[in-house]
Amino acid sequence: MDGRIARRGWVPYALLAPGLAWLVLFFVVPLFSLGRKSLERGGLHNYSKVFSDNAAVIGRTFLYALAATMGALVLGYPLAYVIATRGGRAKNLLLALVVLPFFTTYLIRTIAWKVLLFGDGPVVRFLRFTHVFGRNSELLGTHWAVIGALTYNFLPFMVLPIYVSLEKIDPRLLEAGIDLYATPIATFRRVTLPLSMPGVFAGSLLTFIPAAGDFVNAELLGSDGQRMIGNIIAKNFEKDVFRPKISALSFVLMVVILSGVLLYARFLGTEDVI
Amino acid sequence: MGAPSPLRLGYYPFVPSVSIAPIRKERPLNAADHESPSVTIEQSVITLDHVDKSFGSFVAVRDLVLDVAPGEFFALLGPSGCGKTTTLRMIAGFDQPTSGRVLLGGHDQAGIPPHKRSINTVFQQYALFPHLSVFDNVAFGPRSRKMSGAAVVEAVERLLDIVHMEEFSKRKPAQLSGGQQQRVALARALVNRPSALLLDEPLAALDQKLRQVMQFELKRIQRETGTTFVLVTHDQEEALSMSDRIAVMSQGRIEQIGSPSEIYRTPATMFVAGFIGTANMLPATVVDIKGATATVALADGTRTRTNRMQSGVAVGKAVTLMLRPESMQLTSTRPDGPSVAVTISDATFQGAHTRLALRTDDGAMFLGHGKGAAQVGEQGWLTWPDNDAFLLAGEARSVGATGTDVDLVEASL
Repeated sequence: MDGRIARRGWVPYALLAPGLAWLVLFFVVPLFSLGRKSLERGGLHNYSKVFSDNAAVIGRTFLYALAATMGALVLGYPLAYVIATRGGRAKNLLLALVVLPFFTTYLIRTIAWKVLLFGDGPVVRFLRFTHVFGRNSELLGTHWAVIGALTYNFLPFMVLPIYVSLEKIDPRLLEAGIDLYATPIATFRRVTLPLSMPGVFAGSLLTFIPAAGDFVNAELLGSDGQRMIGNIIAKNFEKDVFRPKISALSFVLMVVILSGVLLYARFLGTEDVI
Repeated sequence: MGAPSPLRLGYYPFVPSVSIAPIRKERPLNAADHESPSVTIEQSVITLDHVDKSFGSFVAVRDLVLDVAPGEFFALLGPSGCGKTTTLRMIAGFDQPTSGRVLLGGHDQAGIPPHKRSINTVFQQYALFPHLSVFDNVAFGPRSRKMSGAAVVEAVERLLDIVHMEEFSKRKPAQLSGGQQQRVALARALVNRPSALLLDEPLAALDQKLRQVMQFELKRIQRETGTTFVLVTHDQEEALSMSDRIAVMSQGRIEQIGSPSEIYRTPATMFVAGFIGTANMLPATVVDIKGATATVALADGTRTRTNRMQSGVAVGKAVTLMLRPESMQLTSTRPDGPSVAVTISDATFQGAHTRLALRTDDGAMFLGHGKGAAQVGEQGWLTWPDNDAFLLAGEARSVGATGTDVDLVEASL
C-alpha cells in the first residue's frame, strides 16, 4: 500500500487524541464518578427527594434562564442587525464595544450592578422619582435584578453569533426579495430572519446554558427568594463535595439545561436551519 | 467577391454568404443613428432618456439614450467597468440616475422602488433563497403579490414546466447543479409575467459547453413566454448569438446600438471593431472615392477597393482597414490583388477550423482561419476580396489583430 494513504489513516486520530484524552480524563471520568456518587445511599430515591425538596428552585432556574435568553434576544438582535447592516466602517469598533465588558471580570461587573441597584442608588432613586416604584420599594433581592443582570452578562454571547449569521447573508438575496415585489419589511421577515436563525439558535444556547448554571448573579443581587440551582450546589459543595444529593442536583441541572435545549431545537426545527 | 487564388496549404476560407449592403456615405454611422426610428417612447418597454450616473467623482454612466421594444432580446455588451451593470440596476430600481429619466412602458420611474416596478431580474450567481425549496423560490413573487394559493401553485408549476424543472420542485438550491439553479432563477423571475426581464451575466457561472446549451434555452424560453429580455454581458459571443439588438458600451457610454450583424460588419467606432470578434487592422490612406467605392493604398503601395466604410472617410485621410479572419485567405503564391506577405507562426486546431497566427515581416500579427493541416514556418500571402474590408476613420492603436494581447483581453473581461 502507498505510504501516503496509510499515513492518512492515522493522522486524524493523532490529531483527535490529545483533546479526546483531556475530555475523558477531566470530563467523562468526573461526570461518571459524580453520577455514581449521586446514586449512593438511596439510589434513584435521591433524585425524587432532590426534585421534591427543590421544585421551586428548579422551576425558577429554568424561568430565569429563559427570561434572560429572551431579554438578550430582544436586545441583541436589533443590535446585531444594525452593526451588520449599517455598521459600515464602524463595524469592528462596534463589535469591540459589545465585547468590551468582558475585559472586566464577571464578578466585578456583577458587583457593579449591586452598586447601581442598591437602595439609595441611582436606578432606584430614578424609579421612585418617576413613581414607577413606591417609597420603600427595592430592586436588590427581586427577580428583576437577577434576570436583568443575567441578561446583561450574557448579551455578547447572543449578539456575536447573530451578527455572524446576518453578516453572511448575500446582499443580493435581499435585492432579490425586493425585486420580487416584497416590501423591505416583508423581505426582512421572509429572507433575513429565516437566514439568521442559525445565529439566533447558537446565541440562545450560549446564553441559556450559562444562565441556567449561574449562581453569581443570584448570590450578589438576589435574596433567598431568588436562589437558583447553582446557589444550592455551590453552598453545599463547600461543605461536602461528596454528598449524594448534591451530586444528584447537579445532574438535575444538566437535565434542566438539556431539556431546554432539546425543546428549543424541536421548536425551531434545526434540520431546516442551514 | 474576388476570385480566391489556388490554395496549396489545404486551406479554404469561410466566406460569409450574406451579401453586404453598401453603406452610403450620406448616412453617418454613429450611435444615435442606430436607434430604430420606429420605436417611440409610448410603445417601448424600457426607455433611458439621457441618463447619467455618478458615484462620488466617478462617472459610471454618461448620457445614455436607448429604447427597448416589446418582445425584443436586447443586450448591453461591454468590458467590466463600462457601466452596463449600473445601467441594469437603474432600470431595476436598485440605483437612481444622477440625472435623466428611466421610463418603463412610458412612465417615469423616478422614486419608484424596485418592489413596485413591473420588471424582474435574474441576478449574477442567481441569488436563489437558500432556505426555500425550488417551489417556494418560484412562488416568492406571486406570494408577495398576495396571489391565492391555488393560483400560485398553477403559475409556479407552469413555469417549472417551461424551464423543465418540475421534478425538482422540492429540492433546495444547494442540491441543484449550476444549470438547474439558472433555470430556477429564470422561472422565479418569469412567473411574475414581468414587462421585461433583466439578466445580469446569466451564463457567467456556467462552463463553456453548458453555456452554449443555455443560450438556446434562453432563446426558447424568451419565445415561449414572449417576454422582453435585457441581457448584460461581457461575452460578445453570447450577445451576438442571442440578441436582436446590442448596445456596445465602453467607459459609461454607448458606442453603438445595432443588430449583431450591423455591429460585426459595420462597427461605428474603433473600440467596437476591436471588441466584437477578432479584427485585423491595417493602416492605409484613401487615394480616391468614386461613388460608393473608395480606393485605398496600403503602406507598401498596393491598392484595394471597398464600398464599406464609416463616415469621415475622405480622400487623403489616414484610415484603418478592418478585416475579419474569415474573409482573409492565405495563398502560397502572390495574388494579383492586395496582399500582405506573412509567415505562419502558430496554428491552433479548433475543431471546425484551424486558427492561424500569421506574422508579417514588420512583426505585426494577423489572425486567420484555415482548414486542414498548416505548417508552422510556411510562408504565404494574406489576401481578401474587394469590398470585404471595412474602412474605419483614423489610425488604429496597433497594426494587426485585436484580441491577441493577453493583458488587454483580460482587462476587457
